[in-house]
Amino acid sequence: MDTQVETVLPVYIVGDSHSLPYHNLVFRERWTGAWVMARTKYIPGLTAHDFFNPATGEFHPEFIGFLEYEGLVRAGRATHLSMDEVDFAIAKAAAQSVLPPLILIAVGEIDVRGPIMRILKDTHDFVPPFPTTLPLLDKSLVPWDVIEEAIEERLGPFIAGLQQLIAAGFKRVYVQSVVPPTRKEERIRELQAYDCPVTVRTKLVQAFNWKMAAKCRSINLTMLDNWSDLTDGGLLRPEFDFDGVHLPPRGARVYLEALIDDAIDSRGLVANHPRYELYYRAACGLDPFQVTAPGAV
Amino acid sequence: MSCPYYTLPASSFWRQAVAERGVQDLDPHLAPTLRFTPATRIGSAGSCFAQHISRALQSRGYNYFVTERAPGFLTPEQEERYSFGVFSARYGNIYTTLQLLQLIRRAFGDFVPADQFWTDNNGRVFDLLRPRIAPRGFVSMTEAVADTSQHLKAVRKLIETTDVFIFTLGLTECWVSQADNTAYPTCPGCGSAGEYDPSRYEFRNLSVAETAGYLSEAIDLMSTANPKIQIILTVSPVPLAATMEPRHVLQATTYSKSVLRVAAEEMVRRYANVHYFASYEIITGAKGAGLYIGEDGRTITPHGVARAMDVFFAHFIDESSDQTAEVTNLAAAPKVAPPASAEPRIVCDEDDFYRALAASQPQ
Repeated sequence: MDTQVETVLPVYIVGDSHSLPYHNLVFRERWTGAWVMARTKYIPGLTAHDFFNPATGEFHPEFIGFLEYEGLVRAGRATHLSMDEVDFAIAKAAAQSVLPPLILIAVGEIDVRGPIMRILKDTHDFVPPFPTTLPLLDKSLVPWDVIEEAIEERLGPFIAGLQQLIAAGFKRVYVQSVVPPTRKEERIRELQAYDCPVTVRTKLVQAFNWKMAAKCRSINLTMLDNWSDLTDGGLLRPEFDFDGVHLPPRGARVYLEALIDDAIDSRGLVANHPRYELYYRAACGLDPFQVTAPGAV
Repeated sequence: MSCPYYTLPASSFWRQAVAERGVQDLDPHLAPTLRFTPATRIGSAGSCFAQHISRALQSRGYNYFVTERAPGFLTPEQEERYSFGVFSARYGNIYTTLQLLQLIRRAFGDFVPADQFWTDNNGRVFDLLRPRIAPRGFVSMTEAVADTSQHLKAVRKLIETTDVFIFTLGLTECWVSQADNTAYPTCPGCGSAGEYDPSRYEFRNLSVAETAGYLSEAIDLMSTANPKIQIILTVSPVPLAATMEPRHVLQATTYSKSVLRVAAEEMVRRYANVHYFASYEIITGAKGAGLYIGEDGRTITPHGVARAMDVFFAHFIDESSDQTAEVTNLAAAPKVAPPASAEPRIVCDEDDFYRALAASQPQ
């Protein structure tokens, strides 16, 4: 029987439990029909705040562990940019692309549902700086500046970490927006031991995403935001409410397809000159790793 | 017939009541006409000095009634920055009786200022009636209007449900809108939010009749909304930081404080539910002034604040209350020690206004 061996395009997805719906997801992308496979790493309790420590310059250890396990990082360096012989050999043997890896990071939901939402609970509402169809409830208001301060405090370390990743050569990093929250009030009571109306929770997630998107844009990264696909009347569509916290796998696929679409449209990010040079030398019959003396012909 | 002065108590005679008493024993009050317990809801408003009363009430475990509370999990610094808990609601400093009257009328839907909000070049919106409430301004007009609406609900709730309302009269000088007489806490655009425009804003120095008239209207409105309300008036002993009158600031201060003191007196005589607390006399009385007023002749020293608060509690605490434990303990507790350097900052629009004004003054 004939068998056809195909390679797949891996997308490395790492994050809190919102990385779980991507687990083992494989599909053909709609443009070339190539296989896309999600390689996921679930880091329990990972928050935007704990993703990176700007004071020490250290990432969450499990995040680095994941990159190392996947061969994306070795000895503290991005392997796709390495001109080291071992890294090149590993990349070839593992059929790793020349291109920078596609990485999707899913964090933030715990930051919103925990330290930020507790400011509001069921006693307060707020007015966001962007248009929203969600109503303003007849409750005391928390100044937007307070909400913004809380979001900045949680997002700051994450954005610093993303900048560090870019500086290390990981230019195809995507950020998943926080998914719209459940409409089920009882689920929040169960999770948080207090109430917070769905319109306030949803607005808070919108605000977090609004800030995160702006920060991602400022460092030339894309935040995937499929809000309109997942909501109806401004709130989470019931068919995407898997367990009161997460999206079902079909919701994850919505994000992954958006990632592929963007990656195809963003070819400027994929150039990898160090690796091109190695392949070029190999194609010319030269030892790619032989150091040429300066001035030699 | 014997002379009627023979029937008077010692407190009526300067020699016994003042000259022969030490500064720390001097209490310029007679028998109290109002007593409160730890359960009594006590709200307050007024000038910068009023904050000493609100803080003392809170620190001594009294029921300082706050109807516009800070959301949970804000740091004390954030609470102060956004003026939560400085007063019973986030109205900022209320210096004049006209301001107080207009606040109450707004809370009951009877007055809508024509010129309340100002937008800066960054699109941030400032409430000229509460210029410090949002330090960077509101993010949009929607937020400013919504916040004002919730604030006024909180003011209304305060007036309708508090047992005691303490108002510290601060100034007679004010800036008003020419459109509708809206009184601002500071001159718009002078070192603070807004843009000064002489065709829109004018200076006024309220007379006795005006000050007392506005205060009387305010008391009527509060008493109608809450027939059980008891009102304590005080006059801030803090002199004017600056005057707009063409005369010396010392004369302007004397005028202003005299008017306020007379207005307070008239209210006490007119209304059974209005009481007077003599913080002004305690601090500025000839015997205490050297100890209670700082070298600049304006700052009230920690000793002064502590003494005023001690007298306040000695005068108004109901020691025979059934809510005994706390009261007894409080009464037995040492007098308020002059706070050390850790004293919380007093949020004062007037001072910040003049500081900013000085900083931006053309050389």
